[in-house]
Amino acid sequence: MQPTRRTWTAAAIGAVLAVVGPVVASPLPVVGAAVVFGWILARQLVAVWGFQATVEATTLTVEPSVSRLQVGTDVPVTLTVERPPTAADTVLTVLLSLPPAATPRPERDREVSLAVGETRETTTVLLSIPTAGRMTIKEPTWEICDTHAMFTESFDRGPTPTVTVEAQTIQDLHVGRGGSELSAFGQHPTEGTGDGVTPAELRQYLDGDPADRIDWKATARLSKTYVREFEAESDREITLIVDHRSQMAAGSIAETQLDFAREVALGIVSNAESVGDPLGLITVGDDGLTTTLAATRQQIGYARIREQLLALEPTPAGRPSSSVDLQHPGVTQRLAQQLAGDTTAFGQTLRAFTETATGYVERIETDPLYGAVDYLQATTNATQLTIILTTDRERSQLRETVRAAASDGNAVLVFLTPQVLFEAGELADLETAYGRYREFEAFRTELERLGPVIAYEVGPGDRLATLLSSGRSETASRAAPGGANE
Amino acid sequence: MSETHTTDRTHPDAENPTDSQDGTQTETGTPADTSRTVSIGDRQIELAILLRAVGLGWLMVVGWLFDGVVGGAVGVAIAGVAVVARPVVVVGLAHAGLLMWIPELTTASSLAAIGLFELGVIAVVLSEPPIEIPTALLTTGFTVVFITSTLVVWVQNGQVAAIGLLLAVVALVGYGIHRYERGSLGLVATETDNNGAPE
Repeated sequence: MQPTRRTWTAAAIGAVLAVVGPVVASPLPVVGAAVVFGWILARQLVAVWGFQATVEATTLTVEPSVSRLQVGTDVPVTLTVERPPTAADTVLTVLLSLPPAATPRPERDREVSLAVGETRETTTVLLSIPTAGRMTIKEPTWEICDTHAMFTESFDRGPTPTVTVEAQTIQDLHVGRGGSELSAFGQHPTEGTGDGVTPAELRQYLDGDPADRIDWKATARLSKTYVREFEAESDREITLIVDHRSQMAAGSIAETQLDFAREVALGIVSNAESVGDPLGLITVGDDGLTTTLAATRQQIGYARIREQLLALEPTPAGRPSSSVDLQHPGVTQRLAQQLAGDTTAFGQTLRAFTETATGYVERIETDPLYGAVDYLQATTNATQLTIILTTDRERSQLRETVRAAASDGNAVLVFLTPQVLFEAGELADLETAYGRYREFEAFRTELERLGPVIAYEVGPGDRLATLLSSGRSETASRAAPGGANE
Repeated sequence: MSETHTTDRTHPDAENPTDSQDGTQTETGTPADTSRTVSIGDRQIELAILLRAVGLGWLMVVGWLFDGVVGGAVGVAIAGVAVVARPVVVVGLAHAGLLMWIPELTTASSLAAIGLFELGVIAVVLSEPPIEIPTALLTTGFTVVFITSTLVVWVQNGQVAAIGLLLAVVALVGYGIHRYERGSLGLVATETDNNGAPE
């Protein structure tokens, strides 16, 4: 409790009277001092009672209109102070504190002041935070003054809501298949089939498929080898594998492949949180795994995943190796070692195959994305939905990675940022770019034939639209008599 | 970047909210405690003004009764100061004027004069709005205790002891009220709260 200047003035008058008494050898001034001091103390005690009533009866709320916002956007924060008339005999000022990272606002814009007799006041302040992260609005600062403006008290008290500031949203995000936009991504599995996360359908046999998955009746009926995928719904874990290797840095400054992948990943996190799916995260840098968060259903777990995603940057060159040890069985490698001393014709013939295979296995073994899948399978026994967000730059490695992820009946969602949509100046030659996009599309559909896999393309919608428009024009000109190719 | 700042303020007696030009919506009324009035005939007079007038009139009457014209003149001078100065300043000047017509406290009549004079002084000091009953009662109580104890010590132990006692008691009571306020509002930090640093 602090005396105001008014109080100090009164106290000074009392002190002068007290000192004058001995000077004039009369107790009369001291009597005056006693009156003044008695009055000051009485006011002090009454002020304390007023403060108590105000603090006990006042309701203070701090409500951001949203708890999650994008960098650079404004969120209205409403500060409301309310008290009953019986506690309205003080002057109460409440100052809304802003997070340190927020754009400063003048104090007069973020304070409410209730005069004596006033019972309610509300003010709305626009909160703007230019950096991503989880921000806490600090306790508001109260300042109470008694009715005579002789004593004040100030302290911090009240709610401390938090807001999560997410990185800039990609404005023109396209997620789809074959150029067709997906209405939403990250849907929860449903009873139906189709473009869900658990396809249950017949598909053509591919090399590497186990023989026990061949649907013999369908094969006999359709004259081609088909395998059947089974619906295998369960309370399965979802693991996000997010590639943030240096190859994900393609694109414009604010809209790299990683930015698009991050946007999709954040959407998946929100979806998983809303339906309560257990969600884990593995992030992959140039030299290995940079983050491994076990699947969790807890709110703080989702928040941690979100924070990790927001903090991701493409791996810079020369980054130190990850401390996570990546292991791969290397069956073919062991076979090559066994054949090393075999000089027979059979052995030499087999070695020719294993030499290629050995290099292939080493290449995968040194692929961090594959290592992420390997790590995931080594550390969990639960049924998995693995969601991989990466680029199509290293297709052969990605193919093996997806195949490994889809083993044991695990469903896989792959979100690919096509290189052709992000390379600078690539669309200058639309015909070439369209050809590359068709190659990508072929690769994407090939991934979907690897098992319970759904592959989506993720990229800037305007560039894709330009590309597809170019493709349609080209097709039309070829179809027309006297077209360019005739 | 545009900025919106709106304020809504409500007074219990207010009926019509008003919108100001800066987007502030306000409902206000005159603070209740500052507008206490009493009716005298057809006129409404603020209690503070009435109390001050009564106190100053009382000082003039007491001055005239105990010191004739000089005492009355002192009372008028005090009233003149009260027009332009705060009550607490008037209290200081009033006791300086008191010295003029009661130079010594040796008789019962002088003690009675002081007692009656202090009634007027207290009325003046309490006339600073808003007027509150608890403040009036506490002021009277503190004043009576302080005056009595100071005068007793003055007579028995001398001037310095009396003044020292008065200042010490005032400081002690003031600090005690301060600590009581901090504790009752929950503002006294525990050792855990501030890592052992004393408040």
